[in-house]
Formats: sequence, structure tokens, C-alpha cells
Amino acid sequence: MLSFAAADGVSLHYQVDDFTNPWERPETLVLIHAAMGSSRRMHLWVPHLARDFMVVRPDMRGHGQSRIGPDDALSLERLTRDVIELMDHLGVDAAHLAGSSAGGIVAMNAAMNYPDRVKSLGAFAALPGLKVSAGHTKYGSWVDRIGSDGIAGFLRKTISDRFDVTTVDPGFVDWFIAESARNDPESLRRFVPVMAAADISGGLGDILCPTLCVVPEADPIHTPEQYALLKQGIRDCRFVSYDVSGHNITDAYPDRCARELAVFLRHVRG
Amino acid sequence: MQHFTASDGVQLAYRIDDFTKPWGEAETLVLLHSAMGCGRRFFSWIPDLAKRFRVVTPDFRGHGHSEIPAAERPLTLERLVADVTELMDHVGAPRAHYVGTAAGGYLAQRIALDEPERVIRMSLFGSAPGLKQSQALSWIPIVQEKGLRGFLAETITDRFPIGDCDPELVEWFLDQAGGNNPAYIARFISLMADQDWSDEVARIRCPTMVVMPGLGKIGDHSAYAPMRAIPDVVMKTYENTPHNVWDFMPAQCVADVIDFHAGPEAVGRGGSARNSRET
Repeated sequence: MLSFAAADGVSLHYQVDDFTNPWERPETLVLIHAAMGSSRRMHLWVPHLARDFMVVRPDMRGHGQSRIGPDDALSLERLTRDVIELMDHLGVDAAHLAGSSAGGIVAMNAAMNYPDRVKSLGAFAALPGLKVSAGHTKYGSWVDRIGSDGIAGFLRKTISDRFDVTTVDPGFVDWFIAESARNDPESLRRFVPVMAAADISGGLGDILCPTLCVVPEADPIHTPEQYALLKQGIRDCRFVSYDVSGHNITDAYPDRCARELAVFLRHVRG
Repeated sequence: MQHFTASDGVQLAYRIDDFTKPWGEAETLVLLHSAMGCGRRFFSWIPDLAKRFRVVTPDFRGHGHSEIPAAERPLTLERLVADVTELMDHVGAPRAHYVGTAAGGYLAQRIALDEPERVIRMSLFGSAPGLKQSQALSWIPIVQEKGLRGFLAETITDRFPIGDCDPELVEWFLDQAGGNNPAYIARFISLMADQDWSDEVARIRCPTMVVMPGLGKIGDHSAYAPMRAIPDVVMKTYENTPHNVWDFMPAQCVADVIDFHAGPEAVGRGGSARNSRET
């Protein structure tokens, strides 16, 4: 795992996988994981994409091996800057960004605020900020329950929000919970409210790059009407709805999601 | 890229790529490159293989990012074999799938013969039982006269179907292979050109796939004939192909490796067979 220092000095980790033709200068694709995740949660996507792109997977601050930094350091703007500064560090002028859930919010925010740096956007099970679904999902109770039950306990009790447990591999569920629980609960206690307070729906019209939005049709955490904001607001939006239940499509259907992204990116590159 | 130190002190480079399901148990597969090659030459093989296997890709001593051993130290086949087996122990894979192209396949064959418990299955591309039945020794004066890149450029049609493959791939090949240390490569090829274990291959116990480049440019078909004596062998010919099939037709090679090493009869021993619903 590689690391660099963000502008505020916090050390951020990331992985790079690149199997592109060695005689070509590859385009870059940044895959941004969800809240409670890490770069490892995107690893099944990599082989579908890394022949065509240099695939960069950061650990968002407060996740995986990346530190969270001081109390005042955490904001959607800071998380977005982290991605742009990672691109600066790698010498990448513009990249394709794709994110899962909270990672998708960060990617969307980057596309709105740094249009020259973002070639295309992929948003999987992501709303334009979690405030959009706050009437429906009580994010405050997540923080309380992570505090009382721990990350693993919280996820185990609410696992049916995440996947259709009758169809996914039981080994996968245990891995997902253990993997999420590697994160520091204290970092998540700070991270979830930042995302829950974010509403960037007003900026959707500023997203000019080609965009792919993939959503689960029956998501216990977000409603179809909330997801519909994306296709209403984003100018060049390919909107795909999977006929599945559970929020975590990027974990439960990694091959399908990665292939969806690969086909979209092939189309974007022409 | 990672490094480890071989038992004789030489620094060797390797990489591990593993995109298998983390909750499964993936078997390890090692990719052994050809003379003048390096692990990077498998760039187009690794993504698909690493969905199913934990893929280990070394650079042999004197190649790629590995140290070039001092000229006064003897270079032996046993030492090159030990570099591979020491690496496999280092990465915790005492048993693995072995895939070798040309000289890399020689090392795989020696391991299958001498340490059979290490090899689950083996596939060989353009790799006869040693290089003695070839014209390889005639290369060395040409290399001395024209340089490695010059030699490879002059004999490129032995290796690539020029006009029928990506010219940029060929240029990259010439730069990569031609960029090796010529004195070391002369030692390496002289060593390989002295090897012939045709009379031993019948002792190979693991299921083996032998892929022969159809045009027989480097080691003609007679060199592969003894391999029919391997008890559990699949012999395959890629029709009308020059030698470096692994470079210019990687998709076919990878499909055959997956079929042979992870196919219906090979699966069920690890997580690699656990396809998700959508695949």
C-alpha cells in the first residue's frame, strides 16, 4: 500500500493496479469506497478495469489505513480535496471517478467542483448527499448503535438493509462484517454525521461530464424518488436500476457493477 | 513489486496479484517468464487469472528488477529452480499451479520432476524438455555482433507474426527483451542450450498441458514429441504461429490456462470455483 500526505498533513493510503499496455500512457480511474469500507472492498472490481485503466483505490480518511486527522478536518470538501490531491500526487490532470454510496457522494462533489479534473463520473447507490434521505433513514441512530453495538454488531442487526441475505454467499456476509469492523468506530462516529448533513442536490446541474448512476430498485436506505433526483438533475446521465433489494450493490454484485462501469467507460472513451 | 533474498544472497523481485473473493480460499498460480523476459511480460494475462488464483510473478535472476549475479558465480539450472521454489516457500505456497513460457517452462518441468509435491497442475507454452534440440547456441555470436535488440529484430519473424499483430507490442518487446544485459543472457542461453531431459518427462506426475507454437520456429515439433509420454498430458498446437504465442495471443493462452487449471474438472478444491450469480 502506498501513501501520501494531504495538504493538511494527514497521511492517506491508496493502492494502484495497472495492467494497461506498457507502451501507452494509461488513463486513470479512481474507485472510492463506501462509509465503513476501505480500498479492499473494491478489490473484486479491479480485474475488470485494470487492463484499460490505471486503477487507483484510496482509503478515504478515517477508513482502512488512512488516518482521520484533527476534529475540524472532516468535511465533504476535505474528502473531495483528498481525491484531487491524490491525483496531483500521481501527476494525473484528469481522471474517471467512480464511487460507492458515500464514495459516490465524494465523486459527485468532485465532478461539481473540479469539472476540469473529472472525465466521467460513476455513482453507485449514491445520493447527492445523505441529507436527501434523512427523513427516511435515521443516520443519528447509526452513530448511537455503532457506539453501543460496535460496527460488527450494528451491521449484523441491520444486514438485510445491505443485502438480500437469502441469495448472497454466507461467507461473503461474514467477510463484509469483519472487513467493515476493521475500521475505527470513533472515526465513523465523526464520518457519518458529515455525510448525513450533506446536501449537494442543488449542484447536480453543474455536473457536465458523462455520468453513470447505478441504483438498487429496492433500497431500504434510499427511496426510488430520491435516486430519481440524479436523472432529473444531471445533464448527461445514464441511469441504471438493478432489480435487487439491499443498499450494497457494489459488494453483493461486484462483477456486474464493474462490468457496467467498464462498458460505460468504453462508451465515454469512444 | 516486492523483493526477497535468495539463499545465495541475490536479490530477486516478484509481484503478487490476487483479485479472488477474500472469503474464499484461492490456490496460488505462478507465472514463469521466458529467457530475456520478465514478469511484466504477463501484463495482459494477470487480471483474468487473478480473478481465480493468487498469481505470483517472479523476475528471474538477471532479468527484470532482479539482481544480475556476478559473472564469476556459476549459473546453474539448479540455482534457477531454487530461486523459484524458495520464492514459493517465501510466499507460503508450497503447492501451486505452475505456468511457464519457454525457459520458464523448463524450470516448471524440473520442479515437476524433482519436487513433484509442489506442482498441482502445469502448463507449458513453447517449452520443450530443454533447449538442446534447437538452434539457440547459434544466437550467441549474432548477439555479440548485433547486440541483443539487433539480434531479436533480425529474427523477429521467429517470434511474432509481423503484419498480424500490434506493431507497438513488437516494439515494446524489442525494447524490453533487447534491454537485458547481453553478457548475462549469453550465459543464460548457453546454460539452457545444454539441457535435454526428454528421457525423463515420462516421470512427470501432475496433469500437464503442452502448448506448441505451430510453426516450430524455436525447437521444432520433434522436440516436443517425447512429452507425449507424460502420463496425464494434453498436447495442443496453435496452428501457424511463431514462437511467442504468450505475447501476441494472450487471450487464447489465458483461456486455455483457466480451462486447464480452473476448468470444470480442476475446480472444487478452492474458492476459485465459487462464481457469483451473475457470472
